[in-house]
Amino acid sequence: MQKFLLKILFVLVPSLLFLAVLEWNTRRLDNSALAVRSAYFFQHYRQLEGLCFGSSLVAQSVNPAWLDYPTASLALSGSSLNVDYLLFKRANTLVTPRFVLFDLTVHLLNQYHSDAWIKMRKLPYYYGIKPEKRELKDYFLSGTPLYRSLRLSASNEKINEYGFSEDRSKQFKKLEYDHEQIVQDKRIQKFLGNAEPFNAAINQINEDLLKEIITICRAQGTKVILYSPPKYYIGNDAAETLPDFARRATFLREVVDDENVFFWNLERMGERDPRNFANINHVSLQGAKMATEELNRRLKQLFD
Amino acid sequence: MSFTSLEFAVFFALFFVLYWFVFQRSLKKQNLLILVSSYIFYGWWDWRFLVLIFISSLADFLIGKAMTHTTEKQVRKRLLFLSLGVNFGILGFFKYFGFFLENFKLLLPFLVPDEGFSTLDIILPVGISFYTLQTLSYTFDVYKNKIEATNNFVNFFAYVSFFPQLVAGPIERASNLLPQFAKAREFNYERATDGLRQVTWGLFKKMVVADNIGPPVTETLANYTAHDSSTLLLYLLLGTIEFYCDFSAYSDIAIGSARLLGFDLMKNFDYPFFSRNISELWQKWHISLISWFKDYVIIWLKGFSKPKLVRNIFIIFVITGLWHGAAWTYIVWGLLNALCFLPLIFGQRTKFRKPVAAGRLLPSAKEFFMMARTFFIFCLIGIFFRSASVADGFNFWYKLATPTLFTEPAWPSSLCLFTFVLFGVEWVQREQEHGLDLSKRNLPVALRWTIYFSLVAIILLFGGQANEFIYFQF
Repeated sequence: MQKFLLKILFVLVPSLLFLAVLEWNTRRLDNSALAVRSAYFFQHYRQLEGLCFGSSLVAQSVNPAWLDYPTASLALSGSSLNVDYLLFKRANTLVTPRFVLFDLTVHLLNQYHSDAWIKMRKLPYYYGIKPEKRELKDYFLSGTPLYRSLRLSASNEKINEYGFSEDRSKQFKKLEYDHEQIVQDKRIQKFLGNAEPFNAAINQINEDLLKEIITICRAQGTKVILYSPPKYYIGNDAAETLPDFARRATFLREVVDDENVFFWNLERMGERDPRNFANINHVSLQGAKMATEELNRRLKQLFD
Repeated sequence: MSFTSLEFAVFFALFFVLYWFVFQRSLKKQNLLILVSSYIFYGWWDWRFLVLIFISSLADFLIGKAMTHTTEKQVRKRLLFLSLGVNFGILGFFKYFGFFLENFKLLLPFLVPDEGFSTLDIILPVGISFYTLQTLSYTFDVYKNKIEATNNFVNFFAYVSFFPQLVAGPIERASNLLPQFAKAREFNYERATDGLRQVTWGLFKKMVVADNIGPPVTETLANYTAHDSSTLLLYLLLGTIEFYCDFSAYSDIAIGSARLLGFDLMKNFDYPFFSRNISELWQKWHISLISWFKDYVIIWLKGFSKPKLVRNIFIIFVITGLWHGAAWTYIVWGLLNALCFLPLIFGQRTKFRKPVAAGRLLPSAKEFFMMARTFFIFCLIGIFFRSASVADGFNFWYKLATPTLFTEPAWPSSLCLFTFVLFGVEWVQREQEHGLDLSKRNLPVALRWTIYFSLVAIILLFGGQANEFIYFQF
């Protein structure tokens, strides 16, 4: 037994040491856009007038630095409305903003993330959101696969203080912003085909959550902006064939009053110019500038 | 509590210390510790599940005892049917109620109301199909006088709930596992190190291969209508590898953990992808389930003539399909597997007693072709395992046979390259007990430790996002 335990320790001790150093290093060097966004929010929430929620589509298309209203982005890659709802509830305990912006891109009402997803994205760590069931791994910042933690560097110059990142997919760039190549690209075809099957129950859950958010915002005088950022036109055309599209239109007819609740649809804005896009549905920096300026113009119309 | 969670690592470490250092002198206490720990392990998912496993165990414990008190055949038979009624009653309600109700409703719509029963939201308890067969094997063995009924409540309950194999097998026979609870166990260095190696290999298969392949495969196969045939084919093969790695990894971790505690569990997978025909593959895939059906179902269906053999094979595979899930897709999957046996029964059948290319490094061209053909057929049939409906499965086949089969597929992430490591290692090790069984290889110490550290580093660094074991749902 002694020999066995010694050999176990021979493997276990260096492994645990390695993991401890990795975790310490991850916490020290955490340079993710999510970390910057959460830090910005907690440092500035007293001055904030606007909050943005949504997926990477919002994170990459809205740069709070280009807006005339102090705004924080709480968007995160792959987010869904039920996650945005949790983030909104958390943020709303600290700040009552003049406006909140939610991503309402076509597929968003059809997405729902589990507790496991919320924990995997470390939202309990970054925003203090309580998971339904806490596990031991939730106490650590390093997430799987761990090799990514080895790639961290002290600073990330591509991310500004608001957590807006200049880092983009290089898909359209690699295809030389050429329409023919874009249409024929296998990965793009695969992406267009990977729409999640329509799920009425999930749509209903998300609609109810959004309605609850709207009720809270109405009561506290916060304007709700439902927003859909620009996408390349083949993505827009494909989205219009989905049942999600009609469902969203019905929902919007029910909630938008253009007084407290708005739908700012920029989907078709600049959709024919590939240079506005990094890939089929994410804007390039040029596209982000275009979208944020339009948002700023509309916000000015609303508040000034 | 999943094997790949930190909770299990802490749980097992604590258990190991108590088992070998605190209670090592008392077999009774060791068995009680196993029982309590197994219930904690199972209750971690949902404590309500414990009621079911308790009822199932209690029923068979009492029925087993009652059987010993009588020699009357009729009474014993009635007791056996009582056990079958209790166990299949629980299993049927939790697993098949919705399925049968739905199909009954289709056949006789006027008998089933729209509201009420049909809206019952029944949760499927984790591992119920596994422990139900395990506890039933005890009653069968007592009925057939293969073993004597036990009077030891703790031993029997520990046998049914033994945590290493409780949730996804191997499905043990009472005649193999139960006596091990009655024998004093001593720590054995060789067996323990081998167990640890098997656990490590299981973790590699699950965390590095299956967990990295799983998400893109699920996404692509769920949206099969949107992809080229070449992409579908690639992901179909990867999907089957994911299934194998996920499930056999569980068995490896179960067998390895049990060996660390001084128990021997039966082998559940024996390098099935290196099979030369479907018959050989099914002798190497989920061995404990197929042999359970052979031992306890086929035994009642007498006869070995060719027509009877066909009947038996169809019965086994339909039950196997239904055992996996309450859906027509699983039944079709079973039927298709059974169909593949027909050419072997009515044609020329070679029985393979040795592993492919035994004693050689490489297979012959013929052997390679046979393995590739078997693997491909198994993959093609396997699509019904994932399909939402039977029509979807056939549509997938149809989508596979288009001219785009000869175009370049959409390649998955480079992490899927670990699949080659898996195949390489398993090929080299195919005559050993498991992928990391180095007991018969006289490797230099430095090389052995390099292998161990490399594997541990790969698991730690490249382990994917932890997904539940697929077989927990069965």
